[in-house]
Amino acid sequence: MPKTKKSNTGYRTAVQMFFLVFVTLLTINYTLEKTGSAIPFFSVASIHAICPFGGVVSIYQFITTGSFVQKIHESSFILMFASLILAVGFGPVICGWVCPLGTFQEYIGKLGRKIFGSRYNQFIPQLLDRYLRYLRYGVLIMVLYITATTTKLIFQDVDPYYALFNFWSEEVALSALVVLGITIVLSFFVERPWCKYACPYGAVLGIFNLFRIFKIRRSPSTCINCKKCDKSCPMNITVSSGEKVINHQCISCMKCTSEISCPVAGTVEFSTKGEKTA
Amino acid sequence: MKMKPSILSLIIFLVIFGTVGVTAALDLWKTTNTKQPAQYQSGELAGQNNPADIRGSYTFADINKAFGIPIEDLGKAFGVKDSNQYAAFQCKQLETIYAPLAAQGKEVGTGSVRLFVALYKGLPIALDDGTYLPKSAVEILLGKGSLSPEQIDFIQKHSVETP
Repeated sequence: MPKTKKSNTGYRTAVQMFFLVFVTLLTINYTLEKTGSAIPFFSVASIHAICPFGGVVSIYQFITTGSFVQKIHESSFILMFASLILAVGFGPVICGWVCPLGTFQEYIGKLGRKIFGSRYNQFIPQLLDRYLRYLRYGVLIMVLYITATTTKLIFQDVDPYYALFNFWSEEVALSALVVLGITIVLSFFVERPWCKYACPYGAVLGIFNLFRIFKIRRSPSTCINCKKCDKSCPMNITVSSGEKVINHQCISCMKCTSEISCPVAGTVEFSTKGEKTA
Repeated sequence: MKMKPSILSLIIFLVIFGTVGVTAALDLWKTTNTKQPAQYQSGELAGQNNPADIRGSYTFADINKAFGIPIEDLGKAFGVKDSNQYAAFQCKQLETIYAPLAAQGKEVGTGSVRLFVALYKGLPIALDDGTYLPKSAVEILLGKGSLSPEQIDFIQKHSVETP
């Protein structure tokens, strides 16, 4: 693991922690509200109401009937648009900076890294890994199709995000708890396994990596080929192989940049096209 | 233009909470259901409430308000034992009552309420093979005498005993 510039890493950690705590409090408050003891002045929205993916799965029903899929509300649609604005500008920052399940996996991964050292996040053979990365698009198509035909939030039954924040609730299906368990176990070996291989919302946002305004750009003229950018990438992207990263798996975490891991100033930057790297 | 982590942090907060703030000010931000189902948008039913939009959180009182079906009919149809609970009974609670049947692929839940309401009111609804009605609901619907032969056949083949 390359050394990082801690002050810059701290911003992302702070944002991740904020949303992790926020969503945790929100789901606890939603449960407390049913017993009449909710935290005063704090939202009592359900976790579905603040999930932008709820907006995505509701698009078909909204267009055809003007209504939302069960448990989804206007707020999901609004957050979907906010996420899309961020994705057009910066790629999947929702995945890399906001998603509490991503944060949760990342912190389990820190334990995995302590256990396995440099072997961590390198267990899956590259060829297999390359194909598995497209699995999440299959999951996305399946979820959209089943939701459109049943008008039910069918994904809830396998959603580890829902299971993580509602594991005490009777509404969580056993299948979702199983998927969460598998995600936790895999996180000891692979960084962000759910994000890489199965997350349908990550699949949606990943498409924006192909045309986002800010991209990870590398200056070959100043690069010293130390490969720290490659080693720091949680999604195993080979940043050092090109002048810019156009990869559907990038989560815009900025770990590879000169702001954090790259030892040469201005060599790997998160920037717009007109910006010259060093 | 280069992006720094500190600036990106601010942008994320501004976009997310700014969007929430603006839409809340415009009264568009809603995290709970209004208990007002969507209406048919076209055809001769345009403007009428659509039973397909009944949610699990709707109580029988909400359905009574939206569709004019007597609460007592709803309570009896779905086998709610305590008549004092009829009004406050939420559709999603059916899943608990009829949980033993779910394992057999026979679902009595919010979908069943949608089916019951649509047939009770003579409104169109897709007949889903996985959706079942309690026998008491079937009897109420047959008693109304306004079902098509296809609908009668469907509900008779898709009826279950109340546990």
